[in-house]
Amino acid sequence: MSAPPVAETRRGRGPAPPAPQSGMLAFYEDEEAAAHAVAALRREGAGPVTAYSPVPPHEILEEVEEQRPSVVRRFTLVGGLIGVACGFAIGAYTGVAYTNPDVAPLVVAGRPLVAWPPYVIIMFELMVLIGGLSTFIGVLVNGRLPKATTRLEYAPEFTNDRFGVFVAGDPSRLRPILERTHPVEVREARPS
Amino acid sequence: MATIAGDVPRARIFRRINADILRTLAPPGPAWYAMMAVVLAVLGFGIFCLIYQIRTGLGVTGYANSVYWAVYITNFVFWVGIAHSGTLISAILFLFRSRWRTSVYRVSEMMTVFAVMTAGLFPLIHLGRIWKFYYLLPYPNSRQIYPDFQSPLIWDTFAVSTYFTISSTFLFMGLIPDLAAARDAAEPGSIRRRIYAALSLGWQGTDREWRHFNRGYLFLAAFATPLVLSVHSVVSWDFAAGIVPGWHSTIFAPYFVAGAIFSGVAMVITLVVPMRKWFGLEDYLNRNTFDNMAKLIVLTSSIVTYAYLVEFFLAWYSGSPFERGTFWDRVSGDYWWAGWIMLICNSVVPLACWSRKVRRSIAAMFVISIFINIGMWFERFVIIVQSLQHDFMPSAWGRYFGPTWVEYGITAGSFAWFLMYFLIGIKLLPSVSVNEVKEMPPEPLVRRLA
Repeated sequence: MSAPPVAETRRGRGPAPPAPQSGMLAFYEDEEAAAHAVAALRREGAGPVTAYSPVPPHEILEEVEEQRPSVVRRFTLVGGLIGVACGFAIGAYTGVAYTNPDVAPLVVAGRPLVAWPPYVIIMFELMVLIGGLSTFIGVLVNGRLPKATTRLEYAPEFTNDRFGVFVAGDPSRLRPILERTHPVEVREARPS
Repeated sequence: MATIAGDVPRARIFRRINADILRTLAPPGPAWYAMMAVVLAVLGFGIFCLIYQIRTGLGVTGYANSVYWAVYITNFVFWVGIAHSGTLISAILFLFRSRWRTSVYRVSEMMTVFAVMTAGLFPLIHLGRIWKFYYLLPYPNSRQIYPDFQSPLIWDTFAVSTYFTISSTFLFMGLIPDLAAARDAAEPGSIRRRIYAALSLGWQGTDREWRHFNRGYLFLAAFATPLVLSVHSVVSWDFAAGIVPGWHSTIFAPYFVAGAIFSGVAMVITLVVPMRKWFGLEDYLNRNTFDNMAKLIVLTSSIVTYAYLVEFFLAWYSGSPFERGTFWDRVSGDYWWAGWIMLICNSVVPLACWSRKVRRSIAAMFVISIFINIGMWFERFVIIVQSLQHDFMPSAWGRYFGPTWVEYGITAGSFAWFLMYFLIGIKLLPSVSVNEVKEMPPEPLVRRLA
């Protein structure tokens, strides 16, 4: 693969984001155009690239995702399994344990101490609880949220009516590439 | 230039959606304050009733042999049920890729969270000694015993608290991109902007953020879907695990889940009709939305009606004199009127929704939704009170001496409590999803802009 790394997507567990870089920022009216721009930049070997979208993007993600699904799924799986284990543990522990060590375990209604079938409900509920919360944590950790500062090139239009593509690097080289992708506007972004 | 449906540039539609939805966050006017004042007055009376009950004891309710579950448990089941349609619309229909949900799911999700917050009060109010609520939690204690995990009441504690936590998380996560939109639309340097900046967690809509967000949202929806089915099933087992005739039935779980979605969709309609008018969101919450919600009502009303019929049929077919006695008593006993309100409001009135003309009439849907709200409240009342006051032996038959004014007061207070959060919620948070509506703009809006 000759394509260069795409910023903000390949760095799964890599180093922290680099210091603000200067580069070019292009605005688009629709997602297809922004996705084409991302593809064009990658073909040209420019990078790293960050795309912005006011709606849940699909085409842009197809360009940057390269068949590697988000690692959030691992957070979900591990959280869910921890929940199942906790659900069983709470039931079993409270069945067996007794806070007074001098007294034998309490047998209720002649049942075994670990009468597990109803624990399934607790296991299910805790699977959803811990799995759901760890999914949310996964989204935050992998999306690098919460953030105290916005990125250098960020524009408020990206939550309103514009898609954006930012590419770090030498503006004089990048401008012609971006201008070929039919942007609404191209501007230079540099640290002040 | 990208256009959707004719010649409207996409950016123009996006700007319009942004402006329309974020306009609802403008500082409230006198009408809002007036409504809030009424709501707070009713809530105040509810709190007074609760304090009176705590000081005097549960004797201020109509409880008597053998009816010790009544209006408070009715309210609990009612409010948990109301919550369910929010998760149905936001999670289940998301997994089904139902496009019409985008404009209505946020407000139903808010309703879910606030309804669970309301429902959660009632087991505590019903306890009498509210300060002993922690007995329900499995913690090591000096009494040297734990709650029994065989009991549906403990399952309830887990199910309802999980439901509250996960539906709040789901609501908040879906809100993050919209809160960022609210932040970017606010005056630079204003307090409002700072609040939304903090709440949006610094969201910028980068591909990295969206990539993990999309995946996480899908997984949360996949978790919320079985969760919502489990919660009302567990609530139904509070009854079905008992042996009282009228409760002890295997159809209770699906029957309750269908009833919950039925009542919840009705409540969404009741709330959304005034809201769309108030906020001028007619293009978003349009006739298609109501048509689709009415179809959900047709479906769930049919399931509920089927469950009623099966209950009556099985009471007869079982040959059990106790079952037969209970169900005959439902339509001809002390609470015959409650039984008939239930049947008429939940099975007969919704039949009107088979007509497309009715489904697409917002006024008609509003009226029908109110009938359903009443009917579903009485359904729970019938199941709980009527079954308890007419169990096995005539010697054990008792009467319920309520609802007393205290029970009415606390019930009214619960509606006020719910509406208080709702009024605050729709002013503080975007009540229609900005980012998802942009993905698939509603037809009437596009047509009007064309």
